[in-house]
Amino acid sequence: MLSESEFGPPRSEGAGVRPVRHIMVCDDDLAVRYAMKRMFMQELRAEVIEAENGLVALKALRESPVDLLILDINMPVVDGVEALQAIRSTPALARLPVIVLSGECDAETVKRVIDLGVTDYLSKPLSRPGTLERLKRITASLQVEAKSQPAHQTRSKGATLMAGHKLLVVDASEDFRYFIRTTFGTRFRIVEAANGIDALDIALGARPHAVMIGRDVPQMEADQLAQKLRKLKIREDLVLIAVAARAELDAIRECGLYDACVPRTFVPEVFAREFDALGPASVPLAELLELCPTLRAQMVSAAEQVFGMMLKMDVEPRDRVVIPFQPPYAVAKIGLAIGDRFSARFDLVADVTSANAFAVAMFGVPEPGEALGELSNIVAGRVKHALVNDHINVTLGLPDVSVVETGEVDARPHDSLGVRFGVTGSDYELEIRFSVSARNPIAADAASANKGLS
Amino acid sequence: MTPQPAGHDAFDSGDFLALTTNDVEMRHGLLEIFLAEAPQLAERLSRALAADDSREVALAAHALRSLLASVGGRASFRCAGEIERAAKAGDLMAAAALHGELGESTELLRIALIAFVRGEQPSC
Repeated sequence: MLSESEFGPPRSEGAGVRPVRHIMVCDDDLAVRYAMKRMFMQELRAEVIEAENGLVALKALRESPVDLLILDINMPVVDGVEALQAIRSTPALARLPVIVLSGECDAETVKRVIDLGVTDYLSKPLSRPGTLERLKRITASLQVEAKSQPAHQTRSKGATLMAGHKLLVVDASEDFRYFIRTTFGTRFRIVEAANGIDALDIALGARPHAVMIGRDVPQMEADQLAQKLRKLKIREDLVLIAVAARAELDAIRECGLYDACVPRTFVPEVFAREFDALGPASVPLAELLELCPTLRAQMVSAAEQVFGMMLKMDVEPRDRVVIPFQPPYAVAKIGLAIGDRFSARFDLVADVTSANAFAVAMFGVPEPGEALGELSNIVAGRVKHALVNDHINVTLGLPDVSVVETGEVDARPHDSLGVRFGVTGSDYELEIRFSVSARNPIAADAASANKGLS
Repeated sequence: MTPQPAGHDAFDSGDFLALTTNDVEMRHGLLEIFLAEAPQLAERLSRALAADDSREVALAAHALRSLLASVGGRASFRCAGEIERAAKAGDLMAAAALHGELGESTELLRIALIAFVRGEQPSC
């Protein structure tokens, strides 16, 4: 287990966000201030303070704390970047939620803003389709008290499965139980039961973190077993996983008994990939997620911000069916050192067609490697910021970019935290991944190299 | 975006309604802000062009552009954006050449916006 002293003081439990009642809108455009003020007063019944530039905002923040700051970038006297820098370096304001209003911003400005840390962004003009809905969603999400939840539990009903946990496998088929034992034996502590009665007996004694139930369960029907396990309250965070033929999964999901449903297959890679949504495969990644449970959410937010602000492209997670990238594709890899015991790698991958589109949006020319290198640098920087905010020391290396013309497909490693994105209104896709491992020579080089560590 | 017949994109009611939704009071408020601010910003731009001050031209155009976007002034928003880009590139001749077009489209916008907010259909 990682020591707290290595990573700074623990986060406070139950850290959430206050309800949004006091908002400051900082923009040199009176019309924008007026429109946003009315919107917030009507939608949120919030009190709104206006500021026409960064200096006015900073002075007002001294007197009147707010729950949320809407901050334009291009303003006279003190612009948005300067104001944000001052805010983030003021202890009392360092964690103030800030939504940036971005018109046309150059890459350097976007990078600087993201490095300083913003909650979200809105593109100007505000009349752009979807902008107001986006603003409402952002402010609504800020109103919800966020309990610390592991970042990867997007599919399960509030339970999670971590590497090292005890997994009870219940199925009459010895072949299937053997398959699970060999596929996941290094990740989880596997116990087995061939029928429902044995399963209950073992569950009461061993108190597994998760129970995987096949459809063929003698002496007790699968769903009956699941109900019984819930009633017995073996664990409050018990994870129940149904394994069944694909055709049966929808009906099983609808019954609401299970935290996850996985299609039955004997192909390890396919099963592992389907199972991955339940928890990280690697122990180091699991440990990092305990310290930074919002890591996945931060990765998603970083990609949305960077692509939205720099490329004016809306990206959304598309993780339901992940098809490996076929050559030609481009990949940018950045090594990270986390504390002095672990290393990580941040990858950004896209097929060449998509990467060219990103490059054209950024530079006006199709340079896929350049585009991914630049984008990975900024997104990784944002992720680093999130980890630093959780008192985790991180150093970044430089992107190592390659374009793979032929050969192997690129498949997401099962021991990484990955998110596939699609660009709204197009077929462009990209994927970002975060892998953590015990310190290795490559990461040690990334951490100790003299060039470009940030 | 609401499709516009050629030459009639001085005022885009779709853009305006996207921002104001069903808030009639907001539309009146934005109209008043536009009527008060637009002449001042236009004057600021004219002075900057006369002074050959490209930085000030860019700033004035940027400010005007932001205002125009809030009231559905699509054509003038576009024109102000081109002036801003030209000024940032140091091309004041190009910026000045667009100044007249900006004035015309903003005037058309003013007429259409008043008519729309005060309940009449615009004739332009």
